[in-house]
Amino acid sequence: MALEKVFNNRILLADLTTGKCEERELGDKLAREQLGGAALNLELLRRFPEGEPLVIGTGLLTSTFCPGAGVGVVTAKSPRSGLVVHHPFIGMIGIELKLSGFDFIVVRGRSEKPVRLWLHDELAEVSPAGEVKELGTNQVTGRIRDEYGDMNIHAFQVGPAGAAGSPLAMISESCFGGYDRAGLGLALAEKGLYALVVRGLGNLEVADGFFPESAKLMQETAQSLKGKTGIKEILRLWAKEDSFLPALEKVTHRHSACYSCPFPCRTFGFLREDPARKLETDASNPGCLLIDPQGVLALSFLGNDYPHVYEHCTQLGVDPAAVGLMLKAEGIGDKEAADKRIEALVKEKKDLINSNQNNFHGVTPWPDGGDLSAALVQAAGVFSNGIPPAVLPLSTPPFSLPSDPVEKAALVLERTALGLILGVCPLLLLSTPVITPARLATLVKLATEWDGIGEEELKAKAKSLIGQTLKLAAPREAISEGLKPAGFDAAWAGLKKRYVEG
Amino acid sequence: MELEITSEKCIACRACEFACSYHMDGDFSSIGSSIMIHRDERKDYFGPILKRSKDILLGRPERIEILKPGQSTTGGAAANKPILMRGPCDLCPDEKVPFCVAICPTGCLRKKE
Repeated sequence: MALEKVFNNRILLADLTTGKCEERELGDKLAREQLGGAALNLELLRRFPEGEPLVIGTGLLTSTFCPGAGVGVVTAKSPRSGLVVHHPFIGMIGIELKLSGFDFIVVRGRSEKPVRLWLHDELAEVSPAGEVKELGTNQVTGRIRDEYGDMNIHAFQVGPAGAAGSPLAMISESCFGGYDRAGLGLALAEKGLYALVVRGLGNLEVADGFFPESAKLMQETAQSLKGKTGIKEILRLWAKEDSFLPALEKVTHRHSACYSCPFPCRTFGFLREDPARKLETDASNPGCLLIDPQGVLALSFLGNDYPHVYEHCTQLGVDPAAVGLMLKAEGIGDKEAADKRIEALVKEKKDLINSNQNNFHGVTPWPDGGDLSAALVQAAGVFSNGIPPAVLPLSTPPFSLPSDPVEKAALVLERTALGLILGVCPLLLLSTPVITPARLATLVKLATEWDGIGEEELKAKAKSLIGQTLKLAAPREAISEGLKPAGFDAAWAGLKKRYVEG
Repeated sequence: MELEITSEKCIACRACEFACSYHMDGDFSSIGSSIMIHRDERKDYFGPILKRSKDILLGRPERIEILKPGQSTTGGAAANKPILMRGPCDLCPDEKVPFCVAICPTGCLRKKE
């Protein structure tokens, strides 16, 4: 059975109202039609509409040897925009989720009391959330790992911000935040699901020929990004000036990568320990892993203290990009004032929508420097805006970019869509052209042995995902006038024609 | 031939774990591998740990530590007790290069003649 090579053939229906979990077979037909990830999530939203569902899924290649194949996707209606959005989780949670024995989880209903969902060894358990709602995300992850004696346990969390009902609550991935710009932390908290805890000790079959093809692509990808390390590589592409980078370099300890990724774009800042230290520190909490370029950029105006404020946001589980925008607008410029304000913001339940800040349907924009195509990507709002709305010129060879802004936006949207269907990191796909749809199709073909699967089908599915998501909730035109570059309206019409009317 | 580890080059991507497990068991998983990434995420302390036929090679960021049977250590290795129950590295005898070396994107793992 081809399905056994990429999926566990298992969907979990978790009803939080009753606390009961049921399983459904994924089946070859559904997997073959939708491929996986965000596309299959969307189909499950349609098939299981009761109980305001939120779907958490893995991609077709998640946890395989494909470069960057550690990604999973949450698909749900954003409490901030009202739009259905696909939000990637990128670190190690995707592989742990798939190898826990569950490919897709449909979370329905609402628990009166906060609960956590624990997935492992093909088992699903709903239990009281315990201390999850009171502690910072780093502490909670530590406690769960200590409880089970396993450092590879990972957890989605809503954090104290979600527990407080803040629209700025993000889904935090284990210890140090995530890329959620859609307030999905609040969506989970409103269901009473304060944490999803996963550990994958299962296995999936591997088809012959998959490994050498993956290893070849891994080395080519690594070569294309040779010498690129740390979050600074992405930050400097977006910043108008880089005077804030020395503050980051001053605290930089090491860079690390997500599962099977050759680009270590995550930077650990030692904030309470000597960054030059190689020996294992005795400090239980020496600093913070900076993973979210948009969040870091939004706080960078705070001078040398912005890594600390970023850490504070991640521990509260609050969107640092939104917080940065609000602090700046309120004229707050130092750590002490920022920390106080952030604590208050969480309790105020204040959202961008009510704050008269420039936004894309309630979601924080990337800072100045985005061109018309970046505005189009953000206006579409199909994917979490934590993912850059542009190709990142980091690789050798570089991307060959179209001059037409609609085509350029389509390149970004479709590579992101492909990543979120297959479970391959969109940041990586936007960083190097080496991982082409054709190369991915080769891996999919090898992995599944499906007849007729190829590059054109992958491209069509990516396009279809964008179109289907855009059609789901209108209007997407709720965009601040200040964020519309010259020519926006005509280009937006062109983009809609490509995906919605085409 | 032996496996050479340069811990400082490790980026904790875990590709080596899965590649090794594929060699050992022929599947996608991390449970059958002879190599693991030990990691304390909160302390940013990580590196590879390799079970060899007569000892365990612990790739600490600051140095390589070789542990003989029965020898204990502190810190990084404590989280990786499961490696004691796994098979030792056989250097993928039928391959030109061991699978972990073939997939490692940073050169942290190398074949040493």
